[in-house]
Amino acid sequence: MKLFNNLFAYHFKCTARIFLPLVFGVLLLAGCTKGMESLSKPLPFLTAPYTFLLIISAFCTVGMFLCIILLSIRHFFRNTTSAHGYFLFMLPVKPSMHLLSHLFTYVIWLIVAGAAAVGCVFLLIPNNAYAQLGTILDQVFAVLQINENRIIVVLIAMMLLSAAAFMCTVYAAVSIGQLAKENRALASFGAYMGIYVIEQLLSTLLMIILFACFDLDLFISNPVLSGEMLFGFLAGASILYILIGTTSFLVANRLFSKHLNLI
Amino acid sequence: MRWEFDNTRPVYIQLCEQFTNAIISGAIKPGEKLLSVRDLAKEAGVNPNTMQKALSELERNGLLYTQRTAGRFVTENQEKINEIKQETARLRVSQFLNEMAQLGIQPQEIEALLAKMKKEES
Amino acid sequence: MTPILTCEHLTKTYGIFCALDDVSFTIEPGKIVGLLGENGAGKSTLLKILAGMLTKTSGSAQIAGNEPGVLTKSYVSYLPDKSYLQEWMKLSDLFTLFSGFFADFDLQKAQGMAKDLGLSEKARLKAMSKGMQEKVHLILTMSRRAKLYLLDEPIGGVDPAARDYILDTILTNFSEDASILISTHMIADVEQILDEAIFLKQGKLILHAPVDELRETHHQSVDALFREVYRS
Repeated sequence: MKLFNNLFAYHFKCTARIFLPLVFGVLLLAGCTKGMESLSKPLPFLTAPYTFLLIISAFCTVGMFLCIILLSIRHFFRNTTSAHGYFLFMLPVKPSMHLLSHLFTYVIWLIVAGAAAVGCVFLLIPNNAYAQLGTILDQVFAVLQINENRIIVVLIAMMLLSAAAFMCTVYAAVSIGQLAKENRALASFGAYMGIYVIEQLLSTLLMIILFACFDLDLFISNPVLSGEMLFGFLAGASILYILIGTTSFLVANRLFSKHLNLI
Repeated sequence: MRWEFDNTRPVYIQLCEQFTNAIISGAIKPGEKLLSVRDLAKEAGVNPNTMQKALSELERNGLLYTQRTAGRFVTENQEKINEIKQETARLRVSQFLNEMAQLGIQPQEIEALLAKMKKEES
Repeated sequence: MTPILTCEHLTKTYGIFCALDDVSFTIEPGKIVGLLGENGAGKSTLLKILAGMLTKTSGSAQIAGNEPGVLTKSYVSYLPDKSYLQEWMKLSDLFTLFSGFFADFDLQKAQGMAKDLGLSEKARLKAMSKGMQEKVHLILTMSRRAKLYLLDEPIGGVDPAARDYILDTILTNFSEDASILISTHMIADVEQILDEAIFLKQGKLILHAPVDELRETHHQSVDALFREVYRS
């Protein structure tokens, strides 16, 4: 446990150097946009720059997630294939612990970014639209006949699960790529493509099986989305992600344990 | 701070020689306590095992002795020191005479030269 | 005495390229052994396998009775030949890092060595000269009370003063229960502190003998002997 804490602290410190300024920067940008909005009322000439800033802010909020995902991949790749890997792999720590600590750090940052994104959305929504937002949300929930609290939690959990499963497939891809003597990044990318194809094939297969089992012809001819159906869909997807994530994790763990190739 | 060694000869033999020379010349006094093997090795810039081997050899020769808890000391046996001094001198002189012989200089010439140089000094 | 390191028919191949070819040797505790050879001879590969950075193709390696793995990493201290730490870290960060991960890390010793070098604990790696960085790497490696130290080219690419410091530090940290395996191609600079020498050539072990014995038998320095053996 102590080892995991130390590893997490290490990864967090390494990534925080870039991620913290990123998150704060995006929040700051959203805050400035809000300020600009308030200023554009008494000063109408600011409306155009405000709109411009609004668009930029929105892109940055989305971009923040993209950055975190890409940089987390880079962090993992460098830690397992470059000289930095010497440090991690000289520690008396099982490879599974390395994978878990990387994954945990990544998920924590996604949550932080998620919270920041929520904050940004609140800041970016024009003042007069707040009331409308509430109304829209109520209508959506009514149509879907779902309990609003439960669905938000499940939705967030599923997004994190999907993100985590994705990262696990990246870990598996890198674990395959590192077996190569040269062009390891290329090999990892190639391995990821292979894993992606397999993943898609399996998902499609699962879909076909579900269609066959649950007689969904009725659903197609008469599409009525019920809350229960949505829930079933989310549950199914979650199971799929868990399967993909676990398999990838096991592959990565096996390769890093028995076939480590830190050149 | 490391001592100079000729890497073509075993280092432990050279260490023996250096210690022997220091003892017979009086640079290291009889009965003097030596540093630990590690400290000596560090000072000399050599492997501690090599230093240990040299010190063991010197103990075998009777120039050093170990007192279990107190450490390693130079022998107080002045006779022994003199004996080794004589042996060393003899060895060096015969080496010198050989070198001189190779240059074609006879022992009588050397004796005469020695007397002359001594007179010049005083 | 049980050997601290035993390699038997250790082989590492990358496809058709053979980096290590049937290497077998034993090292007793309390020895400083030089792993000597030209660039590409397989020295780094051997050390990496022992350190658990690479997996062997065949053969076996045992360090104090265990194959390289999570357990051996707790008592093997490895110094890579490249800069491997995060450059933005301060010395104090590095000390904390090593203390946290290695139970055998002697913090006071490390701090003492840093003080001797006149290094402030607030100094960052990237602000130091290359020579100073190498010394810091060495301090971290040698401050662990390990059973086996694997030093990959510790004196390559540093000035003579730094080199002397590094060799002195190795001697100071010598212990009868531990052994040090130093890989280098700069044989003349290091042979004075060695107990034994292992010659590697194109992945094969061509010689393993005590250093003074080599000098006595061949009447030349280990460096000269190596050149001679290597030429043939």
